[in-house]
Amino acid sequence: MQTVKIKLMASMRAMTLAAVLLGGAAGVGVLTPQTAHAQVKSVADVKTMLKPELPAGALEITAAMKSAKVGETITVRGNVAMSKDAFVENRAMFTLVDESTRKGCCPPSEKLPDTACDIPAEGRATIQIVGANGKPLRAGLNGEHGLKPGAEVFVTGKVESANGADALVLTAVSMHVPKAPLPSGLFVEKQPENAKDVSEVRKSGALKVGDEIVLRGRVGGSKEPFVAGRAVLTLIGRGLKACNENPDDKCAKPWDYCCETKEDILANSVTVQVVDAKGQIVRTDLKGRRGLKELSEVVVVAKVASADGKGVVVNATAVHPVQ
Amino acid sequence: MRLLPFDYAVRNLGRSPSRLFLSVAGAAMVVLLILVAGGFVRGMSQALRATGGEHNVILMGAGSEESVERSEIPAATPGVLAASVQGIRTRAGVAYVSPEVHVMLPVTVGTGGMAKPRQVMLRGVSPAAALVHESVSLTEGRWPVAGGGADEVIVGRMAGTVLGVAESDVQVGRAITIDGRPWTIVGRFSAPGTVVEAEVWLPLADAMTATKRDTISCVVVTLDPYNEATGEGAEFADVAAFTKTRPDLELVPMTEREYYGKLASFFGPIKVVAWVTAGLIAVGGLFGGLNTMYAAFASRIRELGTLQAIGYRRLAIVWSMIQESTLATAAGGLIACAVGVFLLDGVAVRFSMGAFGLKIDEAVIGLGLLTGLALGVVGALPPAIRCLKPTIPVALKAV
Repeated sequence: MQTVKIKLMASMRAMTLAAVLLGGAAGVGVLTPQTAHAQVKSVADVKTMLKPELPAGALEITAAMKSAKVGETITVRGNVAMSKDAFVENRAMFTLVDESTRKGCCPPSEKLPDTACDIPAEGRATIQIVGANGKPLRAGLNGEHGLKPGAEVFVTGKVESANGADALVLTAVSMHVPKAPLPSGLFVEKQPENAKDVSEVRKSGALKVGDEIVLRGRVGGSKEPFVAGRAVLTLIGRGLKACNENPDDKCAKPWDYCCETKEDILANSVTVQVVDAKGQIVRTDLKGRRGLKELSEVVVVAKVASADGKGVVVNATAVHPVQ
Repeated sequence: MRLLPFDYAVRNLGRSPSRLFLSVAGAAMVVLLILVAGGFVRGMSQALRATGGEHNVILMGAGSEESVERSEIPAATPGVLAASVQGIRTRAGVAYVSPEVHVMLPVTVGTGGMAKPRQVMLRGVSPAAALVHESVSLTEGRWPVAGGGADEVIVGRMAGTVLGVAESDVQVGRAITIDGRPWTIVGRFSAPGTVVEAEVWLPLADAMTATKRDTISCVVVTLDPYNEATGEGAEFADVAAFTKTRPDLELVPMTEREYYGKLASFFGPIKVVAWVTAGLIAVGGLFGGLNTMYAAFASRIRELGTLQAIGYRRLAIVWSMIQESTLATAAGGLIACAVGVFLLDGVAVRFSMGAFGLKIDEAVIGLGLLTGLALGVVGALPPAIRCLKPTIPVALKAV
C-alpha cells in the first residue's frame, strides 16, 4: 500500500513538473521575438534577400552615381553586365550596369566579351553581399537565384563607396530579380510627340489592329490597374474625372473611377501591355518603374493588338511617364 | 527555503470530497467552454481555408469580390478563358475550367413542402467541377444528369446538418424541394474539412433554368504550376493579365484561397464574440474557484499559523496551496479535454456559409490545459495571501 502511495505521489509530481515545463515552454515560445532578418551565411541564404515585389522609386545607375552618399540606403535598377567578368569568382560580387549608356552594339557572337568595356564607368555599379564579418561571401553568384549576365536586378543597399562620378559600391540589403527583363529602351526620357488622349482616340473608334499610335492617359480604371508580375496596365483618358477630382469625394482608391459607370470606363480606356519576341506578356511588374503608380500620367507609343468588341489592347514600344 | 511535502497538498485535497468535486467540475466546465470556443474558431477558419484549391483561381464579376453569389459573368467566359490562357491544367484533353452558378435558396426535405425551408448553398456545376475541386469525391450514387425532365442533385456529407434533418432523410433516392420544385438525390459526396460538404450540387444548365438566369456566377480554373525551365504552366498573374486584356468581360481574378480567406476574415467578429463569451464565463468560473479555495484555506488559518510556527516560510505555504489548487483544476482540465476529444471533435455546426465541424486539435487542447493550470494558480493566490496575512499569534488563535 505504501509503495503504491509513493509511486502515485511520484507520478503526480512528475505530471505537475511536466505541466509547468509545458506552460513555460509555451510562454517562452510566444514571447521569444522572431529575428527580423536572417543572417546571410551562404549563397543559399541569399534567397532570403529576394523580395517578390518590385521596389518603388529605384534609381537608374547613372542617376544614382551622381546622387549617392556613402552610408545612405538607396535602391538602384540595372542589368547584370553582359560580360565574363560580370561576376567575381568565389566572391558574392557582381557588376550592375545601365544598358542605356552602352556605347557600342552588342557583339554579334553569342559568346560573352571578357569585359563590359562598352559601358562607361558612370554606368557601372558594384554590388556585394556580405556575411556576418562584413566581407563578401566566399562564393560566386553566377547562375544563383536568377542572377546571370543580362538579368535585370533591383538592389536596395547601403552605399559603401561613391565619388559622384564613376565609382559606386553597394552592399545589398534586399534584391528583386524580375522573371524577365523589359525590352531595352522601353522607357524613354523624351516625351513622344503628337500624343492623343485615350478618350479622344476611343471616341473616334478608328483604331484597327496593327495601327501605330501615340496615346496619353492616366493609369487607372480599376482597383488594380497594374497586374502584379506582368507588364500590363490600363490607361484611362481625360474624358473621365478621377474620383478625387470630384469635390468632397473621399474615395480611398480614386484611380478606380468608381464614380463612373462601367460602360464609360470601358469606353475611355485601353489596356497597355509589353510583349516579348514571342508575343507573350513580359513577366515583370510595371508598377514602381520610373515612379509609375496609380493615376500617373503616361505617354505610350504602341501598336494596336486587338480592337474587337468593347476593349482595346495595345502593345507598347515606348513608355514615357510624364513628371 | 524548505518546501512542504507534496503529499501535504495531495492529502489536503481529500479532506473535503464535495469541495474537491466542485473544484474539479468547475474547472472542467470552464476548460470545456474554452475548448468549444477554440474548436469553433479553428473549425470555421480551417474549413474556409481548406475549401480553396492550391492552384485554383476563381474569376467573378467586377464588384462582386465579397460574395460570389452576387456575381454575374457572361456564360461564354469559360470558353474565352480556356482559349486565351496557356497553362491551364488538362486531363485527357479536358481543361480544368469549371463554370459555376452559386446561389442560396430555400430547401426542404421531401416533396410535401410542409417543413420549414432552410437556406442552403446550391452550386450549379458541369462535370469539370469534379476536376477543379479535388477534395470532392462522390461517395455514393452517381453524378447528376441535366435536362430530360428528371431534376437530379447530389448532396454533401453535411447536408443533413444544414437542412436540420437526420442523415437518413438525405440518402440517395430521397427527394428535396428547392424553391418549391422537387429534385431527386442521386448521389452523395464528401469534401473533408471544407464548407463544400454542406452544399447541394446540381447540373449547371438546370441551375440556370431554375434561377432564370443566362449568366454564370464564376469560373474556377486550375493552373499547372509554372515551370521556369520549360516555360510551361501558368501563374495567377497570367489569369490577371487575361482579365486586363478582356475588359469587356468585367472579370476580377482571385486565388480560391484568397477568396475563402476573405470570407474567413468576414466572420472575424463572430470569432471574437465566441472568444469574449468564453473569456467572460471563464472569469465567472475563476471567481467561483476563488470562493471555493478561499473557503478551503480559511478553515485552515490556525493550521497555516502552526506551519509557520514550526519553521515553514509563507512562500513555501503559498507554493503548497498553489500545488493543491492546480492539481484540482488540472484534473478538471484533463477531464474536459477528454470530453472535447471524444465527444465534441467533429460535431457539425451550421452557419451562413453551410456547416463545419468543431476542431479540437493540439492547439485547442493545449489552450484548454493552460487555462486549467492558470485557473489553479490564479485561483489559489488571492485566498492564500489573504489567509497568510495574519501574524502567527493571531493565526494560532483563529477559530
